[in-house]
Amino acid sequence: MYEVRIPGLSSLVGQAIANKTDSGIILLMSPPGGGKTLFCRQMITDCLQSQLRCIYINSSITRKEYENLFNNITDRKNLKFLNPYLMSDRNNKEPDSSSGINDTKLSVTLQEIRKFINEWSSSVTNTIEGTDQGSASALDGIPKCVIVLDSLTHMFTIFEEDKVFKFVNALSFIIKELESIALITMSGSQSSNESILNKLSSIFDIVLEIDMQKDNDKVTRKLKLFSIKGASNKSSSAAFNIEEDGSLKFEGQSTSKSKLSICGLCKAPILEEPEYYLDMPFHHNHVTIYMKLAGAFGQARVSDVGPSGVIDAAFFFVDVVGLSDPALSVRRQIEKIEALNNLIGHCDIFKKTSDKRVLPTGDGMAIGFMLSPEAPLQLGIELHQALKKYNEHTNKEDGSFLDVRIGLASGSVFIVNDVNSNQNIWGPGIIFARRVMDVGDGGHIMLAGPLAESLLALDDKYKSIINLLGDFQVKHGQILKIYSAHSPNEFGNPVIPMRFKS
Amino acid sequence: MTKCIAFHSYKGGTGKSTISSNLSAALARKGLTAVLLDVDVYAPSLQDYFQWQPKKSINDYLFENASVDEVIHDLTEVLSKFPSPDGQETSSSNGKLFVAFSSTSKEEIYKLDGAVRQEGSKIQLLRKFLMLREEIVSKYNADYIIIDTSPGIRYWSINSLAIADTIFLSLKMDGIDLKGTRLLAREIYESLTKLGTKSYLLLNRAAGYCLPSGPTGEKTLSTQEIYTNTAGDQSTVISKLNADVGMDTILSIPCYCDIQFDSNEFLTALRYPNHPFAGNIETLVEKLQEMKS
Repeated sequence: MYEVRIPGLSSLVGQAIANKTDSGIILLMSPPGGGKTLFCRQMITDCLQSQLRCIYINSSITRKEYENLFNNITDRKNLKFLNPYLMSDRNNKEPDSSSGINDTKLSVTLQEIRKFINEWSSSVTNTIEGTDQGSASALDGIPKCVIVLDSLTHMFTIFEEDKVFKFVNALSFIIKELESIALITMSGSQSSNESILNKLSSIFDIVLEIDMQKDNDKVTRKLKLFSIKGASNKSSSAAFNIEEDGSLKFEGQSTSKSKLSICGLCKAPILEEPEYYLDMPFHHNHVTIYMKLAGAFGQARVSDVGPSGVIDAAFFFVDVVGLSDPALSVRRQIEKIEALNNLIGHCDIFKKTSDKRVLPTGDGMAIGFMLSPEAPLQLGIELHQALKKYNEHTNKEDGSFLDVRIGLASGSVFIVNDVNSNQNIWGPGIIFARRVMDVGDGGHIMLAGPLAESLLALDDKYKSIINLLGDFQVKHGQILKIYSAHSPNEFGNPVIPMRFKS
Repeated sequence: MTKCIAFHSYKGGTGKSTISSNLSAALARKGLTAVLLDVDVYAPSLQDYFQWQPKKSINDYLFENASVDEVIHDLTEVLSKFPSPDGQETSSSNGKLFVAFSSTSKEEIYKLDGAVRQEGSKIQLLRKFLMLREEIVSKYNADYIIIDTSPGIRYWSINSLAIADTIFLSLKMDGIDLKGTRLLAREIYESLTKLGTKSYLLLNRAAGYCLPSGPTGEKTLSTQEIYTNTAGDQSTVISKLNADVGMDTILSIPCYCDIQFDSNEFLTALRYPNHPFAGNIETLVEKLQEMKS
């Protein structure tokens, strides 16, 4: 329920990692005019919509300016504004010695932050106690408090540098205690802020930068990911626009708050605001067509294009070998997942096939191809070729070598509603792909019998690359006929899988 | 805004392909962009009609073996073969005629028919069909998409009707076609029109062009009488049909024997601009323009 939403993060690290990023401190750097204040506004707006509490700290604006900035939020009871520069010391005569900040205004700011948090916590606790909820479980549901400091650069101009460092340090402890999240902004780039970053690098969990390019009158903005949990990231970026109402719109998203729905007619993701008919989401221009088809074929007969439809598809399942090895740092794990995502995203067959469903699985993904039974194997071959090039620059000793195993199968899947009311797929097709993948080791492209046999019947070219291994008993005693696809020095692994031998 | 018009009928041979082709060409001649889609997937005829052998067909698009640009063929050049109405050798209009063909390959027709029988692939093909319309609208800036559908109540004809804004239900004036038209109106069209689709009857091969001659070639009083009776009966039947099916007749095209028996009929409306058939097509164009405005 209480989701922390960081604008654009899902575009940079994928939805799975973005969903898990709900604590820590984020640094956002931006040139003047890059939109860092509007980024803060967007994050606060999104978090408030998720029922979170937010504190906005800005030492350069008045309360009236703050109210204008957040005029998109009518109910601001869960949003507090603090301006350290305007902070009176009436609440606290002496600087806060516990935080080591020898500055009254900054100390009072910290006091106010704690006060707000305590007020919110006690109000939620009272509500929970008042409703006789089980306290332990109910307290787990207390909304987080998100702190946004905009900007650190301005604070350096009005407070002494070491006091600001101590303030940020104290703030980081508050965030850790709360297991919450803070966004801190700075003007400039990584190079211009190098000295500050060196001093505070251990504090920041994620470092982002807004890159702004001007071409005549056109301004293009990109959100770049510099590092996440200390691991550098050179390639992730997400273009975004600032809309007329000040909201941020990332490429491929209608709004940063939108939830992905699948059209009840065409089964494609709906990027705009969906329209609903019989509780099903539709693309705006597909509702009437659905109704016409239902009228012509009959509601029952058109149900196969409805939400509970069954889809026949060919599946590609992949995971990274050894990703859960405790010797592998989280940083390495994230690098590997991102590398796999990038490699698959650049495969031709992946790019050119529009009728596919992609389900991230954490350490890999499942992809359902709706029309072509050849596509999963082609993707496996292309991925292996891409991996070969990628691994020219990695080595096994430092854990950077990327090894995957792949399982391919075909079959039916149901379209189901997941816990977030998004439409998802589940069924024998996807399960078989997972099972045959589990049989293989690194480098293997394993195929379930029915898919392999249909490919062998389809084209003679497969006869030289798809090889029968035999029957194998998978989970729940189910016996599957397993094939392995390989070609010397090109793709696949000709070695019999370990599990098969045993 | 693109208008999508589907030509449909209960039976085959009602002139859907001929009229839709002539209409598309006439619209292009008027300076408009017309995209003609051959969605009579079981008995495609436009390849033969336009004497065009496409490398990629609508079938390829539906199975993701071709992009929209590969299946939409620019046949504007064809228009230049015919004199423009103002007597010039070629038309100076900026109109465009695009055509997308269905495959005439037996294997492709079987493949599409087979895929439609599987619930899983059926929806994917429908999705691609929807995308085809949307890509034509966005990429080709079409004024009109004209769909030549399969006759009867079949998967692709229903899909075509569902994505159309306007339907022309063409029929000949024989008993079977009249009964079938009533069936279509009741079973299919009623639900479509409730949701905003405009549907009209388009009578083809109606009486009214030629006065039948007697066995020796002379026009006798008796043949005149038969003809008058036939025309009168037809008028009554049409009025009753309009009332029964709740559809107006947008056009009544007489039976032109010279077209009917011309094995090389090709865009008569452009080829013979003074032929009454050209006048019928012109009337249809005008009515469409009125509807659009």
